[in-house]
Amino acid sequence: MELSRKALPYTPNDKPLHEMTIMIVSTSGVHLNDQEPYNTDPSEGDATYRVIPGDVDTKDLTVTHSAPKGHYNTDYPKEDINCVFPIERLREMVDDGDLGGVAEKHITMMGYSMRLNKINKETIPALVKEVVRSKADAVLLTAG
Amino acid sequence: MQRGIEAQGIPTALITLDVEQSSLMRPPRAIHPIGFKFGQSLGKPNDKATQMKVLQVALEELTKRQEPGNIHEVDFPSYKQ
Repeated sequence: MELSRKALPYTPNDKPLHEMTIMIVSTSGVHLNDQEPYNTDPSEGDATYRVIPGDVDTKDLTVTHSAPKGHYNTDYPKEDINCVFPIERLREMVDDGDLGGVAEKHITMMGYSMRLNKINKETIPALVKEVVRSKADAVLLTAG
Repeated sequence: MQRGIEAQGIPTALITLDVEQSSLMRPPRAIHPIGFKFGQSLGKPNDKATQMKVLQVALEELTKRQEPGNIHEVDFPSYKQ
């Protein structure tokens, strides 16, 4: 569906958090150590996304991002991925009974990727399909 | 992206540090933790308490009736310590 830029899509939500399953969609450049890193060559950019399993061990996650260090210092999330990808905090909320669940999959991209046309036409529609298929009740969006 | 997901009937909550860029997109639900550095959207490494507070405030956006298009400025005093 093509939305006018003036239109504001807003999905009302009636569920309390303790009944909701949350998925993370993040443009922070997080990925599994054994997934292909994002392409940081500014002349090429990167319009791809990575699927992160919900039961991931945070030791298996790292970050690749082309933003200058002064703008987004990836040393912080490399030390503690929860700085930008709060998977362990979500799990703790579930353990405390404050949240219904953590989705089986999460999605990441690299913001700052310079390929906006491809991202808008191809990547985002594909990513949105993944979100719909995941049956998550809501999405937490994070950047760097 | 947030608009695309919401258009499919899935509510979203955004944590943004780039208010200028994000407000152009007029996000349906968003918070801006005031004064946080890029790379620390939820807090500093290993500062679980601040990360948890930011996460909870962001997720509460989902359960409160919102005026979409606004970014809520939120101060987290524990970040600065």
